[in-house]
Amino acid sequence: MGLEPRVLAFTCTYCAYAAAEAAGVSKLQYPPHIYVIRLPCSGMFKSYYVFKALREGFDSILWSGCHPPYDCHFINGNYKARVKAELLKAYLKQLGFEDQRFRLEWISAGEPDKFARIAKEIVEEAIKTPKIIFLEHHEAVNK
Amino acid sequence: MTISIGIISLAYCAGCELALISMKRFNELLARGAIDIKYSTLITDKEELEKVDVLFITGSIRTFEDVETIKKAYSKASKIIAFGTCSCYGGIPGLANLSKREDIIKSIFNDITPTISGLPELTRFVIPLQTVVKVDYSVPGCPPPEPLIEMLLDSLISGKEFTLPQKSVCEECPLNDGDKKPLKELRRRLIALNDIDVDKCFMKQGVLCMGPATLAGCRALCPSRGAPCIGCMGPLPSSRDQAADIIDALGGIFYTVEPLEKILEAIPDPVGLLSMFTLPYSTIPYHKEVGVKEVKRDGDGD
Repeated sequence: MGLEPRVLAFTCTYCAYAAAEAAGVSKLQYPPHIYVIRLPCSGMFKSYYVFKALREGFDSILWSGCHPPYDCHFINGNYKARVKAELLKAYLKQLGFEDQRFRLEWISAGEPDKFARIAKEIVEEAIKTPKIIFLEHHEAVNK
Repeated sequence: MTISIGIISLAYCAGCELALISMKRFNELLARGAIDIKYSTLITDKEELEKVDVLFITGSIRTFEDVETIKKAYSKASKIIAFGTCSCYGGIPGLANLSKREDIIKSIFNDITPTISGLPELTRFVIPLQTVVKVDYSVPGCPPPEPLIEMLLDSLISGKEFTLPQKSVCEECPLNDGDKKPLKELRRRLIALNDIDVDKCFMKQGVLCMGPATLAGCRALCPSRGAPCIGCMGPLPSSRDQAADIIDALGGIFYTVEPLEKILEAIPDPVGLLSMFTLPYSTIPYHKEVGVKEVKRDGDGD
């Protein structure tokens, strides 16, 4: 109980969310463990969301936005996401978290099959990695 | 009216205490009799903490002795102030959260188990005071800057509320010219510092400066004197993760850097540079091996 993997997917309205919706409309199968959150642009995904999601018990996080260079509705949002993701990966790696817990992918609105494939992959990987539970601050004094 | 103060110290370097007692304003008040130091491990010769009006706590919680000290002192003061970044956010000692306590002891004693009995045991990880004890005011800084201590002393004497500033170091910085163009270069701080112009924004010259994600209050002490901000004042009150804030800021500033690896080359130690002072306070406060329990799944996802 409670051991089912949970994957949080941040998607941008214009590409990745449209792809997720198209995957649903065209009846492509992907696992139900993926929770899709819709945000205006990949450039406004906050790094804090990733830390918070891991802390709250999500097993892995998918960031997805429009393909560089020209797909982004806001011109350079995906470039900003790319830099943030690179730094986040390095930060999480130094804190000992596995690489597969955080993933950045470019999915355009016309690629529902890609969204379904990545959702399957990421959930399969999440099943293989152990579930993590964080200790609270006051638990540090328990011996 | 005399306000009696006590200063107790946990895992710390005595810098905060020294910054407080060496301040001109503090000494004036001391000479006038407005303040009386009842207890301080650095300057008084007393064994036990007696009842005080205001208790300054400096340093983070690292050993079980610190836990006991807090438990004893907590009921003896009517106002508790977390003084300095260590007690607010964990500070430099907080970077020990990157290693397990067994490894820390091993690296110091080099495989020889210490034979002296009665040494306090280490807690599982470093805890900032704020997260386990209710504090009235928290005054960050390494050590807390003079303007902030002055504000605190004024509020203690007049009885008014003390509030932290709500803006970032960049907003106070004299080098900030308001230009928000994306930048093309980020370099390693130590190498770049040899050939930069100290009268220009550090970020614009490709040097990592923690200004955008750091709380104001020091009047941009370091940047205005030729050194980039390292983030000792901790995150803004609206946020908990200094690292997340600076990563977002860097994403917005350096998105035109090509190739991407250059950014990682410039920041070889992300945790040590981006949350140097605030690791124990942030959302993920320790290395995975230090405080994370792992639960194995069956494999069929049930």
